[in-house]
Amino acid sequence: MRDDPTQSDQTDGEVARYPQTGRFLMGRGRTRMTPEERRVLEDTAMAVKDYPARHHLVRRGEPVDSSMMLIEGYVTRYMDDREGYRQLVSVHVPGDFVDLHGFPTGRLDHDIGTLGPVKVALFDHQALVGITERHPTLTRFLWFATLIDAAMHREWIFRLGRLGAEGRLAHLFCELYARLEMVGLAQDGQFDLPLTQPDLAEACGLTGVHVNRTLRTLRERGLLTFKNGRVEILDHRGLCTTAEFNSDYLYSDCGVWKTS
Amino acid sequence: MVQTVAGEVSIEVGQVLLDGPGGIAVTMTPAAAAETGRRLLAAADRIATQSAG
Repeated sequence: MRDDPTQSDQTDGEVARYPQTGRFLMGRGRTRMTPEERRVLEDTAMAVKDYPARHHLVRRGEPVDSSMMLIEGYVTRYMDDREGYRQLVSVHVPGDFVDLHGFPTGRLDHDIGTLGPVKVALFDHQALVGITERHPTLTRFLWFATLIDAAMHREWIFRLGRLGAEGRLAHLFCELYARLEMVGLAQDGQFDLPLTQPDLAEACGLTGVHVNRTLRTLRERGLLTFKNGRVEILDHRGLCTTAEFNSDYLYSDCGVWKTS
Repeated sequence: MVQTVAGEVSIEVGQVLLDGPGGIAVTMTPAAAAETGRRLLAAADRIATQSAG
């Protein structure tokens, strides 16, 4: 766990100045954005919308003409198989540009839905065209954000392909903690997570029964508790070891968490 | 990767859980677990018979 007590304060200041985009790339390159670039991004948001929990935001294949940056809450990208069983392919936290990839592609190859109540900023794709034409450095930051998305997808493939049940859950918790800490929403090993055990199952390719048993095992090993939507990591190093977690794919400003 | 270590089997609320080998993490009904077990044994026995012959 990093000793970085000022991260939350720094994020609070950015969010006060840039209420819609203040967490974008926080902890991984935001400080390299100029004040002008931060202002341009903030002013490009065309609207802010609130959505309830378990709400469909974008359906697979539909044309999209705007992209969402998550301001508050949690959003998931997911795919359903033909029997209706769901696989979560990503979980997004505040500051994430959830479907920026829809800007060049014009449609999404997955669905997007809320987990809890959320607030999102909408960016019209024509306005993003303006950024790409007039602000090349800011454009590279947007590109960087989508590359981090791609890196996380690779890591999720590793998680599902190589890790057992304990490792998969441990890895998900390690990743979410790292990402939330970067945007000032987790500290001292604790964070809120409005996911149910079925959600965790769908993210980790497990059944709800398996998740329930595995959470109990992680708790009995003294690694982590997850209760009433609150995660408490009790042994960060142990959890990272179980998860084979190496945070380099998150491109944090504060370095890499590695385990032996 | 060919696994050389057997998986761990446990029971949870009437279901059979198989953890490992490798990244396997499966929940099965007792009937599915029993049939899978029979098929695994049959396959292993066939290989043993071929090796002996």
